[in-house]
Amino acid sequence: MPLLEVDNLTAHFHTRNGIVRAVDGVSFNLEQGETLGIVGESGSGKSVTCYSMLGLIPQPPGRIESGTAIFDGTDLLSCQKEALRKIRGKRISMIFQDPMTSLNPYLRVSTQLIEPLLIHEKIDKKEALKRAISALEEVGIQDAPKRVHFYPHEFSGGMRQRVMIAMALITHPEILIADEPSTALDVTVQAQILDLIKSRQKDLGTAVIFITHDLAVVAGFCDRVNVMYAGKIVESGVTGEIYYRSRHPYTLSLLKSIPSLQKKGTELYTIPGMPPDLSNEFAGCPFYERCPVSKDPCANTPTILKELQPDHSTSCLRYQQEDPAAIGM
Amino acid sequence: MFKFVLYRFLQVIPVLLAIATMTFFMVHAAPGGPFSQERNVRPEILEKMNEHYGLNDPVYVQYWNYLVKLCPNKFNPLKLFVYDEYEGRKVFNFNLKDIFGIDLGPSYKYEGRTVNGLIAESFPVSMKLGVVALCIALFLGIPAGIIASIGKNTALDYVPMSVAMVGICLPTFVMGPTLALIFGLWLGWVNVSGWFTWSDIILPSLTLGLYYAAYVARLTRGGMLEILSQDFIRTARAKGLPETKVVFKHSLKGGLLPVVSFMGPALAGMISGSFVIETIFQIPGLGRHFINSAFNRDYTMVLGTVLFYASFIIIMNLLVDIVQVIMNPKLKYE
Repeated sequence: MPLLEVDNLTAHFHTRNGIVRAVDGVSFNLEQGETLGIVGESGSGKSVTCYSMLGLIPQPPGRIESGTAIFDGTDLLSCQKEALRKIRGKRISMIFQDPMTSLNPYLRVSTQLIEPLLIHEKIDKKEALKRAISALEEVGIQDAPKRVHFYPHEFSGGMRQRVMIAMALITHPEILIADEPSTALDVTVQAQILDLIKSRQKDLGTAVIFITHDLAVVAGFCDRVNVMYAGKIVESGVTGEIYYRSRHPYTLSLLKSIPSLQKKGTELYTIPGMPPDLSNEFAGCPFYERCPVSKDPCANTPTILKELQPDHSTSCLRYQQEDPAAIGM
Repeated sequence: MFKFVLYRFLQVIPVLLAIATMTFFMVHAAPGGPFSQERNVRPEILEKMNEHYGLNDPVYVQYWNYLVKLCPNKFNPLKLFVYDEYEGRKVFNFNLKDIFGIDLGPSYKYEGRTVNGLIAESFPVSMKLGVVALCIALFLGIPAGIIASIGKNTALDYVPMSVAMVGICLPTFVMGPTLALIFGLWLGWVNVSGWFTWSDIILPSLTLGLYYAAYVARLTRGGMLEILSQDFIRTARAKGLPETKVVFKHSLKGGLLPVVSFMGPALAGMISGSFVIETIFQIPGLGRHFINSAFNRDYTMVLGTVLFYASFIIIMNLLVDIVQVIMNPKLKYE
């Protein structure tokens, strides 16, 4: 039985310019201890998917229209706010993209670190502080007993992300949602942070949902990948399948756009056009207009994620019906 | 911290000197003198009076004499508590000469009175009024602002903010008489004006406090909204913090910073008295000396009140700076 079972999650934002369908019928499972990547470009709904599960999207304007997210018998989307609050930060915790702004600049790191413990566990401050120090040591911060009392601005960006990781893992959660944790850091620090998450995951047996737009990071990091486009999952499968036998033109185009995989000296490949406006409803495939291999039926046949083989699904109409070699992407 | 306060304290001296110089020459440049309004004074007597106060000397001599007199000397803090025969016990005697050794000279208008004495008499009244008004401003303004920021764009936001807008737009000379009319005349709960019983403080402090409360409410709302939209608030919520803790522990410190900056000049304004309110409610406070002394060409009194007010603003701003460093760890004492 999966640890987390998300089914048909739909989250819309009701704005003045109409309804923005940020997440539209997303379903996926997360197994114990595995790493699930969610890939997509900005505005594809990866973050909103995770924020909705934890009740972190501002409502209004956001609204969860339908769906369930079953975690240990509780539906995160429909349970009482208080029940969700007890899970949030204790059993499912989160780290965010920008470590410079994600820590409260007005409070000491120690105060912020022990907070999850004080809320969720019956523990006194002294004991909590001890655990905070060891949590900092575990994420590789030296001189932790002294530095735990620093303010966030006294740490560098990479250090702050380490603090965030320590804070998220201090309650030993079952799921860690990492929302682009390495995007705002430079490349060497990025690698350190990824290694750190990996090793902490191994120690604690935490399942990780890894949100990113960096396909290269996903390749080395995740067991399974969901590719999202315009609020929908367009392809999903184990990492190797997605990379070597991709069955969706969007994923294929993304892979083609990785600069290091292209011939030097030639113009870089880009996907033509822009991501679609999510306030319009799609009759057919949302990728239709940018797709190099689209056909007429794609424009008005609603897409569904269909399993081609165990551990590999696609929403592309052509790949569902035709032989991949015949499509020729 | 100590170095910071000392440094700021030393800065006060040139600032006050500049203020004293400018004010001195400005009041002396104004036409007329302290005694030109007196009627039926024979020229020889007028001459004698000018002679007595040194007003016949060249302006630069007067200026120099004033500065020399202004220099702190012979302060005596022990004399601050004097035995009051009427009260039958030792009472606090607010006198600038005893506290700082500053002598602001004799008043030209009030015969036989010193500026020190006039300030000592009227400042405590203004301060009492100001402190009560301050409490009203903070205890009404801050909660109203917090509630408005939490219920952004709902009735909880619109109602207090509309009231605050009215409060800002309504001048004190409309608010004061209105309150006096309702609570003094119609309901008869308190005196319309005067300064006799404890209840006389209610109407003027409400008039003054509500005006500042409106500002404080708007500043609090703005500051809180700014903080509540920050990434670290999302982090706090993701940790599973209850909403009360998100607001009071994670947002309030940063959200109140604009209010703290505003409090410096506001405090000085409230505590050192308001001419309008003191006139409306007939309160023997410091505020009316500001205006009256200028009309009377009471040179020493003008200089005395201006210097007193200036020092007050400087002290309040210093306090605000200290509080800001305490609240915002990114700032450091310089």
